[in-house]
Amino acid sequence: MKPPLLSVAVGPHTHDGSSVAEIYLNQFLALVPAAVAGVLIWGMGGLRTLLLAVGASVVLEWVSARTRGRQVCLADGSVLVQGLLLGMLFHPETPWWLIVVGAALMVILGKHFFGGLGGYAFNPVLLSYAILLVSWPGQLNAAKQLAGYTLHIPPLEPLVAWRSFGVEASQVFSLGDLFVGQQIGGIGSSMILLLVVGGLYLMLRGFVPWRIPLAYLGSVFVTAWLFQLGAPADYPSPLFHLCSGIVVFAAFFLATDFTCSPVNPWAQVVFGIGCGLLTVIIRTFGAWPDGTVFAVLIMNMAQPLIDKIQRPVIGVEVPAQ
Amino acid sequence: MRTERVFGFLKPQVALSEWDGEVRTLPLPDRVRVPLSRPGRVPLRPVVTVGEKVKSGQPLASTLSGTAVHAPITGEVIRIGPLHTPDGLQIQGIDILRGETEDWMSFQPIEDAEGASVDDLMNTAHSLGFPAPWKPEVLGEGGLSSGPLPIRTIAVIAVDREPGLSVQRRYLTERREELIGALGPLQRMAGDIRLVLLVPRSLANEARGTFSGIDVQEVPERYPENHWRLVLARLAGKGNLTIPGARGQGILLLTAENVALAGRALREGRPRTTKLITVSGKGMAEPVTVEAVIGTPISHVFEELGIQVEENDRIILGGIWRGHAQFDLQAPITRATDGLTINPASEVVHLEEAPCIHCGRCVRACPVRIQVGIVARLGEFGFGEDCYQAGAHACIECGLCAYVCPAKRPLVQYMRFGKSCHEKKEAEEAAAAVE
Repeated sequence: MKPPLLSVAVGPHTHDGSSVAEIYLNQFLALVPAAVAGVLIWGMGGLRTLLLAVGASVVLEWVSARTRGRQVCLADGSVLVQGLLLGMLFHPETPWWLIVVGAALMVILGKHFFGGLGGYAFNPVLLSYAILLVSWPGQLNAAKQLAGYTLHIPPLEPLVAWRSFGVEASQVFSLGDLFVGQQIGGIGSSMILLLVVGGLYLMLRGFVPWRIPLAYLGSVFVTAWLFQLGAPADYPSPLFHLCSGIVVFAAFFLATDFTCSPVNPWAQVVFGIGCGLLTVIIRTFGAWPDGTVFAVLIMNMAQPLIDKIQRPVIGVEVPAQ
Repeated sequence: MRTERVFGFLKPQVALSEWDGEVRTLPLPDRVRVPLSRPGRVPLRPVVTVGEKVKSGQPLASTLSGTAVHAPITGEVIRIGPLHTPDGLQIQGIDILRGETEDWMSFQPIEDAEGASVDDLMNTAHSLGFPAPWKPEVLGEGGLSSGPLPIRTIAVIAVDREPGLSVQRRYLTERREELIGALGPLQRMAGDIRLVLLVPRSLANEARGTFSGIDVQEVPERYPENHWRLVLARLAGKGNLTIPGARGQGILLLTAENVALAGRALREGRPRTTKLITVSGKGMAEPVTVEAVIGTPISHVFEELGIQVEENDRIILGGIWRGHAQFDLQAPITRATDGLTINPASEVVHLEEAPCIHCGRCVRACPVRIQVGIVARLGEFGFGEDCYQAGAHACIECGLCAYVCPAKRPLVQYMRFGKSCHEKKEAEEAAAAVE
């Protein structure tokens, strides 16, 4: 009798069952509540924007991977999450071509130019959105584009109100309203409460590195509080900073992108603190009301350096310099 | 055992097994295959020829100093030729076909271990295949294995290599008497050398009572904290063991089983021929520990335990973490085999050549704090020097990184490849320097 052919491989011969698809599926699920709430508030415009962003990203990912001669890896789900993240940054009246251009920049320039998932230096979502923001500021100005909507909330982005009209203007917004997402902004990216719920879920399950969001939000709070301490008449409260714009969205879902964030525990803390510091500084002094996008991109750039904050390897003599 | 990550905060912690089922003695196989020395060790030369009849306990091969490998069964030598070690090296081996009757070649036993002189103990142990490497004059030319002497500490380890195995700990429980009987002569032979007994934490208090007068030290019952190299590093008092190794720290590591069997050999005047192995996996409700003779083909173990091996199953000599998958059912049980695991085809883990997504789980799981993600990528593409600079040679190959990798990358293999690239280059440089 012929002996059976056996399966041979190097150890370990066991695995915890985790997969890349599992991570991205859970990230997608964590985003769904905020996205659904966004659609409920903004109606068909919101739905159209999200579907277009996700659809265009998926198609472009397929085309890009095929062009590069790679096996199509839609199955890992990363493009689904990134498409949804991009869609949630847009306001519901974003022109369709701008969404497609954004998806193309994200998938082709942001992701596949660098070699796909695991290879890029900058978060593709933020890279694409930053380019759009600089190139088409008018089309992405939510307050201007949403003028046609009947709203029962102040028709201005909270951060724009503060920067244009001072601290008094920022006090028009009730923190409670801001926290539950009653503000002008992207579809879902300002649904603070639901994003926190989704983010906590991801942190607890280990699908995002938990130190980054905590350090990020803590650092925003402390930095904003220091500013306010110095000149209460000029700077809004730390809670206003946390509840306005996309800082919570970025802390849980954008800054935590594995590929361009550090992996060592203390490096992650430093990375988060840097993001928070830059966010508040750019918000306070920069040309753009919400500095989050640029803060995270700058910290992405510093990631290889920050990741040098390592503990020494056990069992290795320190090499003579 | 708890293997999952708890909410992403804690590292995976795998508890060692605590079960102590009955030991089953396997009937003798029809044929055994005895491996001789590995490359880098003192060479063993066959002292028998094909066709020769041998008795159990008869020397089959010996080193220049006289340390021998003995026949585990009585029968006829049918082949002297290459075989594969569990980890895939091709070395020489001797095949014996079992004869009708079982007959022993006995040596003069040590009747009274307390009364015998140390020289008697040493010489008898040596002729039975248990040389004392801390006495170079006994070993003569070549020694047991190369390594800087002198030895200052002898560590007897009664902790199993990895979860799922229950071999070494048995010499603290049901086979305790054998270890007690062996430690006395060992202590006398060791003389001034410090003797340490390493035991699992839960058995430490009991062991302190049983082995009075011996330095008993606790080892955590969690993988990979129980990894022998980490344990030795702790014993050496510094976090540096991988360079230049246990011997460089003056530590000699002996397994509890080897020590206990040496004691038995001295008492009975018969060389050691058996090995305990824990068999687990496919179709077995719980693992079972069996006693088999050295050189037993694994197919014999499966037949005796009624395990059907089918296409695409994975058969592992050792445990699921650090064991080696086998391609041949005739592969023998060796002295270093503590386990035999069979994974059914449906549960076999398939690793992929997938890109790293830089999630960092491997880095945070690594017990020696290697930047696994980046070092494995360097190794993958053959940058041996960079691997070395990043500390790849500190890797203890525990397998936790590959266990937690969501992309299912063969991280351990990449590390080994990186290490071997560096070693190859060093060897070439050394050769060039000689010329």
